[in-house]
Amino acid sequence: MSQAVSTKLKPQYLSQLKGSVLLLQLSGDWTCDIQFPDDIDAELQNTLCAHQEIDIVQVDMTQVTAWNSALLTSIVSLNDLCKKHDVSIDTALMPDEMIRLLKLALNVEARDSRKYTGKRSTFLFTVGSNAINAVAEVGEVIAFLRNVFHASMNMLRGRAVYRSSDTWLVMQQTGAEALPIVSLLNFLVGAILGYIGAMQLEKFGAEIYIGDMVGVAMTREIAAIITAIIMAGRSGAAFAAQLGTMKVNEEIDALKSMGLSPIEFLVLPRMIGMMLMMPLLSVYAIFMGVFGGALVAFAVLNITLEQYLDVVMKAVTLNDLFVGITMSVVFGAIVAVIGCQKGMSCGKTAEAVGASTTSAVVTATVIIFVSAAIMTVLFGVLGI
Amino acid sequence: MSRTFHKTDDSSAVIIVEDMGMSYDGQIIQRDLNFAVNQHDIFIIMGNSGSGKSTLMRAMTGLNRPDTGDVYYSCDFYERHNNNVDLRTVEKTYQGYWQSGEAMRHNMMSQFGVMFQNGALFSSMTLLENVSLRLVETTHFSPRRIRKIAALKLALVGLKGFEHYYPSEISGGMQKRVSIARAMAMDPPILFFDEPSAGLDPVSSKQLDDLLLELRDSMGVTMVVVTHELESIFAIANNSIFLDHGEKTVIAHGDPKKLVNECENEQVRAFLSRGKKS
Repeated sequence: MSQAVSTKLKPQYLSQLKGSVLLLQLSGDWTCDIQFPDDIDAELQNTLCAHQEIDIVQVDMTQVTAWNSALLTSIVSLNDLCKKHDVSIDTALMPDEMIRLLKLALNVEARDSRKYTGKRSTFLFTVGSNAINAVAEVGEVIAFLRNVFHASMNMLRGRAVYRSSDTWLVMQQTGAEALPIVSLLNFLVGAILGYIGAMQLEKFGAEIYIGDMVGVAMTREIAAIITAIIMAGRSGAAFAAQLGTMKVNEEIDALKSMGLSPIEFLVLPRMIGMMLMMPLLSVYAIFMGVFGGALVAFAVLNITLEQYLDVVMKAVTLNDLFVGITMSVVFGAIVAVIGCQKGMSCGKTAEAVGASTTSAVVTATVIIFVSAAIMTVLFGVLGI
Repeated sequence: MSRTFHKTDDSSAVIIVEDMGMSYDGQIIQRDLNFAVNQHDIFIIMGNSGSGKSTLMRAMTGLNRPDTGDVYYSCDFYERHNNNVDLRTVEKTYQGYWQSGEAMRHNMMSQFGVMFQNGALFSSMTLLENVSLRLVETTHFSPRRIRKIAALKLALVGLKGFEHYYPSEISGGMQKRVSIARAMAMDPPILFFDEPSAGLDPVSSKQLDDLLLELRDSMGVTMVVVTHELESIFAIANNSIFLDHGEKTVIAHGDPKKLVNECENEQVRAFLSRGKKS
């Protein structure tokens, strides 16, 4: 648009009392948001309250060069005021378009109303509602687990309706496609563990035991935990977002209406895929972590790869591998269950999908660490 | 560089679409589109499903760049609209939207409001917040005045009292009305509607048609409506184009009430006569 030379007149109003008639004269351009005289409503209210003798308010808009809805809001407010004070409005000098709009706006009866409650709440209310929500959420998870259990039983009996191709797709997405990030992070964690270990072990002349430290730590816990965290952020979030969006689009309702169980059709393939891929990824992660440690051992302590691997092989037992794989299966189940549950219980708005996805990642991460702590103690007590 | 061309004849064109062509995934949807939308028109873009009606509207509203051609908007129309200027009486300059720079496009966008097919309301905001969003972000009105304007717009579409509801708490028809209120929030002189009656029952659809007519007459806005609802077309339109899927261009242009009998194209007559009231 070409820049027009501003010839706008400042919007102005003048109210004059002539006997029982209040003459409201408006002039200028009332489309300007910066110069809009916002005090007009309060001014008219004060005038009407102060002069009970007013019978008629005559609105003269013949000098108004341009107007929009902002001025109309003032006329609507004036109309409400006049109604309240039992004063009539003379609209003879108002534009026809404004009178039509005024009628359109005023002819609508409020069919329903709701007071603005605001977003503020007391501390006690917040604590109470959060506690109630937490209990309700636990109930939802238990109900979801029960449904998953039934669906799993149906699957074992060969009665579950789901597409095996979906399982393969989930395995590809959560397994093969996650290899680069799993490799990088576990290699780095192995290297970090090795470096910190090297610093400490050097003090005692026990550098060669770096293989013991990295090998056992990665095999028993660290590889499984790091991989699970990656899976929670990557695949768990994806599950929640996918299922949440399907819920918003009523795709889950469509499945139900076809007599198909969303748990069998959508959740089972994701759970199976994730629980099968997690142990494989964890074993792979162990190797990457051990190689990370080997790099540090060679670079910092001048320990050759043969020497390092020899120590690792002697230190790591099958029990350690059993513990790591068991943990990874449990973590896989946690990530899949939480991701799918959050998606299935998602609300029907874009905001709810975001909240579900965030909640899936945070909840899964917390539960992974809690369960890791419990399993560590448990395996320790059992002497495994 | 943007370019302008002047029209000094007695036309009252607000929007001129010139040589526009669009494609999707390498497939041509429409080509050689040439038509004008006049001041105070309720202009219908009609055609069968998949003919490119919504794609054309998206190109006209700056959401998708066309492959060829451009859409020209009358310069200073916002101010002329506010000052009740009859475009037939003045010299007109038109600015091509897609040839313009980012700042100019932003400026041009203030001339129109868009109602999307499914309402496209922000689910995390109340109806009042939905309607007032653009006012809050782009004007200097006081918060109180903005709330009043937004409430007025909701009242104009028959939703007085629903200000603090969320979109998920109201029906689809009401969501469409809110979407119209949101499109009108800035008092734009041009309104675009994508399938406003789609999914509505006949009574709600009729109410919506009446509302559009009332808004056109009282606010003097120009409307471009994408629809294939024949009841609505005959109820509100005074000008239209028919997009053909096979020919991939406009095969009819004019008042649908005349096209139904006078159009040379049999397909257009057949399309329109299905909904013609005897």
